[in-house]
Amino acid sequence: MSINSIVEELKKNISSFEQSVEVEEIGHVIEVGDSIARMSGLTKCQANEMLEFPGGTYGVVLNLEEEVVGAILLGEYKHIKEGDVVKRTGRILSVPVADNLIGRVVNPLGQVLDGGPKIKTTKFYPLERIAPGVMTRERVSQPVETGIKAIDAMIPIGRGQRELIIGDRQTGKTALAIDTIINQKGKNMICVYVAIGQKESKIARIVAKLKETGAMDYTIVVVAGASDPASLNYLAPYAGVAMGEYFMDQGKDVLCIYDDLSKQAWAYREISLLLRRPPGREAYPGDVFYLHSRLLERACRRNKAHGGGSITALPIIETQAGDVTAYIPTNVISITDGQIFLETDLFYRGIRPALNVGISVSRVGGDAQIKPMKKVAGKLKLAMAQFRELEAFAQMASDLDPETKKQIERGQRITELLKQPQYQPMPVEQEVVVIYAVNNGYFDKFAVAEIAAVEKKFLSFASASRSSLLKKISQGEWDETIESELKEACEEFIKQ
Amino acid sequence: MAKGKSNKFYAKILLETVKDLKPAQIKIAVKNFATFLIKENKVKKIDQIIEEFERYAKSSEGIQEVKITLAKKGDLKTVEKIKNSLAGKIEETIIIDESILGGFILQTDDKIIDASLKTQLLNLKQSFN
Repeated sequence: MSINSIVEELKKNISSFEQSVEVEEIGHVIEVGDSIARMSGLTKCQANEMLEFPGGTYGVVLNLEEEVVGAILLGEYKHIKEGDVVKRTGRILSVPVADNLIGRVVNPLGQVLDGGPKIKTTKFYPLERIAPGVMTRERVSQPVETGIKAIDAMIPIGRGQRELIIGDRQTGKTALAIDTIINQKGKNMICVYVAIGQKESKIARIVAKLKETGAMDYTIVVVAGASDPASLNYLAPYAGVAMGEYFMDQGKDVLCIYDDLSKQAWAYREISLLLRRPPGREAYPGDVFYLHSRLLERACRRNKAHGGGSITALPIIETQAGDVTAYIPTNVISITDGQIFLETDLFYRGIRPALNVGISVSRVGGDAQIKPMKKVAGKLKLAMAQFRELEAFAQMASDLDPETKKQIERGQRITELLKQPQYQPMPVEQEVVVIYAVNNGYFDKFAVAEIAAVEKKFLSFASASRSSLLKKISQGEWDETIESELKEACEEFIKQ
Repeated sequence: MAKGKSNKFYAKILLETVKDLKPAQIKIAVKNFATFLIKENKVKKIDQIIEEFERYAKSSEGIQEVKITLAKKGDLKTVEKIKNSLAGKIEETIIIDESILGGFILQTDDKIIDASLKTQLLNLKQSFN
């Protein structure tokens, strides 16, 4: 470019710049502290509008009262003092959305935390959005394969479902969610992992693991850490689902994991009490149910006429000493389409994932299972239910009649088979064949302790000699010939 | 953070009570108001309440308080022009701030009209990004 053209370009740029004097509406800070501020003025201010404080700090209006406006501050507030001028921005709180969010670690405002380049986009999605209505929805019909045998067989999750993961601390709730993300590789799923109020070290470990397994190629991590203000913890899930909605609007399938919503409820309680909203049960404000219902209702499966796409939600709730009757757990249980219960007892007995299959349910996922899985899972559920009833008698094995004894032994083997190490999700066809084998008694002759090793051998045998069969199963095919082929394979394996 | 009514609220009360009273009655009313403030535990806030009262009384008489920020002293022409363009009675405070470079900033109770050179330049800078 010659100097002349540069000058021309600059002139053009400057002349196209419109000189305009803006009238800005302002208010004054009355009081500030605990990451909230109360202001006078701001006459025409809207609820949920962003406000600009001095020093580039932003706030969000939550309370509109007769004389004052209450707002939460999103970031550093130590420099704000009484009498400071606050400006309206006229914008509702929103996050930047773009395709290149994938693989990034961001905070609930869309600012990057992983040291990479800024997210450049002109598109913004509001954090609060009305959930899709009845006419735009469709029933859940496609599976989300978690790669965890027990869940895919007995508590199946479908695309667009909301399945709660609930349990005490240290029972493997996050592990379950991370395994599910890892298993989405090549399944046309975009994952959003929202970490709320967690230790930064734990988040760093998770991100490292996701990178190691290649899961970051289709995952966004939204982080509001334990050291972030309560306002960010409160907003994080909405930011995550807003990013998810951007991809759903492109007709894609999205998996949102909120880890965990009890911490979000704590953050919201803190904010509400500071804003002097009246406390209710357990000091939560009156609208704490709406806090979670409006979030989880945004998970949906949209029909073709409205662009398709889905958001599957896996909220996580941490219970205290197994108490699922506390306020927040009961609320979220009633909102979701089912729950996965994880128990400390089972965890320490070595049953990992520590899934209580008796009380875990999935209310809509059954329709989404592939046919072969549906066929083998029915029998598995029945065997497990019988086993649970008889389990108490297992101690006096010698006095039992052969039928009962057989059921107990089958149950023990199934329990053993459903154990699965962390970070090792299993493809669905492999799940189907091992469940088929244990269901039909092919593993009965092995000792319970050997089951894990036998399973491994069986899988390598099957993938070596019956790869076409496995492929058919993974595509959801199931008929008598496939079943007889599978039977033949099992018999051949037993003989070895 | 004591829960309670804002200073504006007390200022309003005072104005409403003294509005149509004779001077002798006003004296009593003000005394009563002082006792009321003591009762409400608001004596500490008396300065702000008075300030609020002054502003409120002026605005109810149609006088508007404005702050005008200028870059240089003695730019009386600009001040006069601004005052003429505003409706109603104006009571202005002039602040000199060299950092705005030129132009003026007009601030009323809940609005800012920023016509400073500094902001214009910042906007220009932003339009290049």
